[in-house]
Amino acid sequence: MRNKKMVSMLMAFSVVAGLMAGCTNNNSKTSNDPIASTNNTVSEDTKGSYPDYSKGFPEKVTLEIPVYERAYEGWNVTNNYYTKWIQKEFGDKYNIDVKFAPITRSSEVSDYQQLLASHKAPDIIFHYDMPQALAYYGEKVMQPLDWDEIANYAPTYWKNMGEIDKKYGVVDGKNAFFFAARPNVDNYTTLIRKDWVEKVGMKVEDLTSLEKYNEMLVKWKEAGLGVAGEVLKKNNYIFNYPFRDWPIDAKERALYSDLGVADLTSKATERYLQNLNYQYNNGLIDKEFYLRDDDNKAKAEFVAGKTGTFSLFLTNNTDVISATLTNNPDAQFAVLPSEALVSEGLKPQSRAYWPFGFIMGINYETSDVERAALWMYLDWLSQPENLFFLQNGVEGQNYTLDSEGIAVKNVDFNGESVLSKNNNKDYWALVTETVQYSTPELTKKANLNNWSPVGYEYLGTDLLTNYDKVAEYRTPDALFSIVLESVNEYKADLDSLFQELYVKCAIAPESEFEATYEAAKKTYLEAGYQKILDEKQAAIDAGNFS
Amino acid sequence: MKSVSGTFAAHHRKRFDIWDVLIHLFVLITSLACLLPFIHVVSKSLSEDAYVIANKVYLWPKGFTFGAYEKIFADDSILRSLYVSVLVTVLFTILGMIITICAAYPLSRKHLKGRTVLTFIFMFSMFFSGGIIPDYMLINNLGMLDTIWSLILPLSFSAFNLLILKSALTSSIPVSLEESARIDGAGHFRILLSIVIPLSKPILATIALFYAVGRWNSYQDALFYIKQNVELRPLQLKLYYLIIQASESFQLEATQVSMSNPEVLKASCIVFATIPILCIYPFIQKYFVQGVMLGAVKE
Repeated sequence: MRNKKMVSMLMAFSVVAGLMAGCTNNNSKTSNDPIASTNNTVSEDTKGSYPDYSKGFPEKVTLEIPVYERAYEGWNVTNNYYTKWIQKEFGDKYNIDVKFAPITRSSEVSDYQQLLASHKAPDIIFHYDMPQALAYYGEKVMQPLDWDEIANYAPTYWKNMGEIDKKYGVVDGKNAFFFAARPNVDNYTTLIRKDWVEKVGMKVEDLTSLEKYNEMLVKWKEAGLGVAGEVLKKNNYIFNYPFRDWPIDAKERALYSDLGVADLTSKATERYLQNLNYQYNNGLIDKEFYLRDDDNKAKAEFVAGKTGTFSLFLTNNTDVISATLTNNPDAQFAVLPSEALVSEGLKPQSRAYWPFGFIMGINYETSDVERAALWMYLDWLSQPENLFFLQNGVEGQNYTLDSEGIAVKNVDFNGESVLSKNNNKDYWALVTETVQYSTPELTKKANLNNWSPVGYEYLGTDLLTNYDKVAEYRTPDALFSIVLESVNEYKADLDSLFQELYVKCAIAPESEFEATYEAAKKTYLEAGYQKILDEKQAAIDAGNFS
Repeated sequence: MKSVSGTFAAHHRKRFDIWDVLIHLFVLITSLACLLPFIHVVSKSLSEDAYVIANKVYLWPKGFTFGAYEKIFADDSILRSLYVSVLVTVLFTILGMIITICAAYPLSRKHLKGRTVLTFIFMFSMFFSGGIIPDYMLINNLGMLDTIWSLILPLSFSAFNLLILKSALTSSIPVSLEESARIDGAGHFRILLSIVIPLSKPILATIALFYAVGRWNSYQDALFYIKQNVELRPLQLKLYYLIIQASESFQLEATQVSMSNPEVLKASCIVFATIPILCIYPFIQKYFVQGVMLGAVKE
């Protein structure tokens, strides 16, 4: 009996010991604290006197550059014509081994976390979203930056981005981030079935308000044509902008606007949900919208002719139009005017992008020489001829230049120097988010080429007209200059809770909407949203936002 | 005559037994539940993309085309993943079988001292393990991340398969057979190689199949362990990336060109990844049935 007890005790001990083994903070390779690390860049001794590597590094330096892995068929993201070209043109010249580290686009955060845990993370840690970038910073996996060092090794990059880096890259008084440029363009739009609109005796231009739009949806329903497309809201919460008051109260916007944590409690969200509830109960939108949790599912409904609207990034190689025509040969398309989603009395507001694309930091384990090599790489990438080659490929093969100097893509080219499916963007996005030409007119024309499906060029033009028309109502969210701990803590839980609660409000009978919404607000606040609001309010009161 | 008609009557009754019908119906529905999704995917892989996007393909292809398969065979990275999968599966199965046989045979012999404790230790690992994070840290500290060994070594021993093989050997190889071989001068290895293994072909084939299918179909370990070395991605991981990629748009990212892979390509990849392992079944099916029957009947 005693023996059995001993054995049980031993087993329990071994299980607990096994579990605890995973909790050790022992880091055999290097210190986790960037401040304590020898790699600290902002030491007074070195400031202003940087070694000259313009003739190459005396010893081979390995540079690890992250690159999004999007699993394109037939594309090797780490070893292709362009990675070899970069090595030949840049790496060999400066004695640098340029390696590319694939980061899965759809699970980038967990990829980074794993790589950081195994000390194999690339030299750059990047993300598009500021809250997540701040979360990385809060985990102390980024080292502080020295603006002078960047200016010294990457003068061209610094000339382009220095001001933005200095304005937005400081967190808690320390230089934390550097950025890629983001020209002010956007091709996200909503397509509408023009033939349906006309069948019910209306014109697309008539859709000047949400009321008119809903009126049209009622007619669609009565005519048995179909409903409006709708998707489950998740991740990027920009749904309530058209329902906000104008002019904007900067403090209120700072309090509620957050791409990562949905706002359920503001007046704008209440208006949004009320409209969604009305549309749902009157059969005006996709009845199973809560099942359309990715774009492909919403696309299937539009292509099959069940829904008459679909939001997408409009591009010249989109398959939506051809697939819809295969299934519905009479289909006609138009761009839905921005005002169609705005109630009378409100303005067609939307979220403007911040003036930067990638938000980047340097891995805390990156050494001084690697960091210098990295700045040199950014500078090399910023040179217009290198950027142009990466964006367009080889002249005469991938593209031909038209009379104005715009690269016209040879769509059938499939040779060795073929570009990745997104025009190699994952390699050049470290310096800019979109292709730019010497003048805004040329850039606009090049963008139109990219955004206009063949035979549907007017869609590209309408998209741009629409974009310009509501430009004054497009404003960027506030940026906090401190790490908001409660956001990191509650973000994931609130994300799933929001989906549950907002769907509940949307599908409640119209008479029960008020009660359902009030209960949802209470649940959401108690689940952690109140703590986020409190922390944000304190930051706003302290002026830690811009 | 009476008895004959009685037999007839019994036979007659049996044919219309309601339970019989229900059981057949149940088996039919269960088999269809397994078969129809596969037929659906095959049909999608042979259809035109426009119909697949619109969810209009069910059990019969629409706009019949082999286009997606042509793309697969033209894609070096998919063929490379197939090669990695085959290599890993073969090495994994061979290694797994060697380890399992070497552990199961001694444990099945009654004269091995401490075999109960040893069996318990093996069995313990079936119920308790460190979990994903300690596993990841272990593989990292052993320097096996991004190497082919991270896909072969960690799972190459399965305590479950060991217990099956041990029970099978205990019940199917009589001690007297071993004793007679020993009288003839055979040592442990001779007995194992010349008597035990040839007599245990059915169970060995079954366990080899367990190992091979398990390895072929799993991708989670590869998802964790193969990060930077894209050349080492097995087929299932490649398939995983193809299917999950770009299923949502990324609002913060400027998108100049459409980036999603065609739906039909995803379907054809699933079929492409399933067929090789499907081809193995017919060859070892007879062993497989014998193997799983082992120990089912006590005589």
